[in-house]
Amino acid sequence: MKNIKELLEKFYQGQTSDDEEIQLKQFFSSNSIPKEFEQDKIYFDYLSKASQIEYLDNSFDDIILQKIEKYKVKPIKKLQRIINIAAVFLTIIGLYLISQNNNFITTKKTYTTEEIQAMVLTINTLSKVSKYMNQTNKSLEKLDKINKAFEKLNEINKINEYNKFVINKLGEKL
Amino acid sequence: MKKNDFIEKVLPLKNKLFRIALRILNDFDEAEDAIQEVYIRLWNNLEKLTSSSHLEAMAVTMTRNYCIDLKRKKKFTFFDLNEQIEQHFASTPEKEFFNNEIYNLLHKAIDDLPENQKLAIQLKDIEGLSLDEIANIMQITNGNLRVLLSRARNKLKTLLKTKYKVEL
Repeated sequence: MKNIKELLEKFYQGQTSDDEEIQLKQFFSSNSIPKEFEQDKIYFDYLSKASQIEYLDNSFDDIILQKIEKYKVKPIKKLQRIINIAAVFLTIIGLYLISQNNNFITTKKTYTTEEIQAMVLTINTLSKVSKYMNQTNKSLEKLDKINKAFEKLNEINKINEYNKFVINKLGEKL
Repeated sequence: MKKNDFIEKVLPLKNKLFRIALRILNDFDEAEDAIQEVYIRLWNNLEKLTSSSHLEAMAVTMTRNYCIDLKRKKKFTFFDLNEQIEQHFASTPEKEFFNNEIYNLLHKAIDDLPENQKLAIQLKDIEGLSLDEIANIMQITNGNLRVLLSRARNKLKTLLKTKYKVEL
């Protein structure tokens, strides 16, 4: 009894192990319990009964089995998995072969002196063309500014002409 | 895992999973719908189930997560448990259980506990899962679980003490 008292104390402190709780449940499953534990027995009886309540019957199984028929595991998933594994495998083999054959990556083409000279000449020519293009662009920008200035002058001329027209009209009236 | 294994090992968990769902959702119809959904998810995760040695813990985790998620998303109208029992059971041991005044009182008292304490009591004291499994399912430490259990058990003990004295 002393052991049960200690176990109960531990139980209410949340300190019992899984095995000790099983021991307590077994003790309280008996019908002849000392009076001092009657309150605790009510709780353990409740726990035992509550764990046996069966809300769902076999008709639930039928519903679930009907539903899962629609969700059967598709074979395509298996095929996808095989393809994935094969892809990983091939990648690993590919990387291995490349690392074994360094020439595959490091081999470079060699050029003759004439080819190098031609290449240098081409680069120089292209850079000159690029330079002229830039200069031409700058000239075009200047021309653009002059054009804008002319446009403004035209506007001023139009205003002057209008002023003359107004002055003439006023002169006629006077 | 073949269909037969699913029938033999997973389907028998239905009442355990339903009790947990009902404890979280407090609604018979919603709990039943939730368990159907959980079973479809379990079926769709057959391969994981096969490789897991903790099939029951995995099913309970799925149920717990799904129901908590559902409760967050959906506003539930409160239904009186006794009314629901009347609707769902004609004359069965389940109805007798809920007709017992003290059991009914305890059942409601557990329902009124804070969510974590309620679930801890349901999983440990009623469903008998191990401390490690529950800590894993609830994503808390073993120490925190023990604190939750202690608080909940003491509340129920005090309630029982008061009620029991009155009845005597």
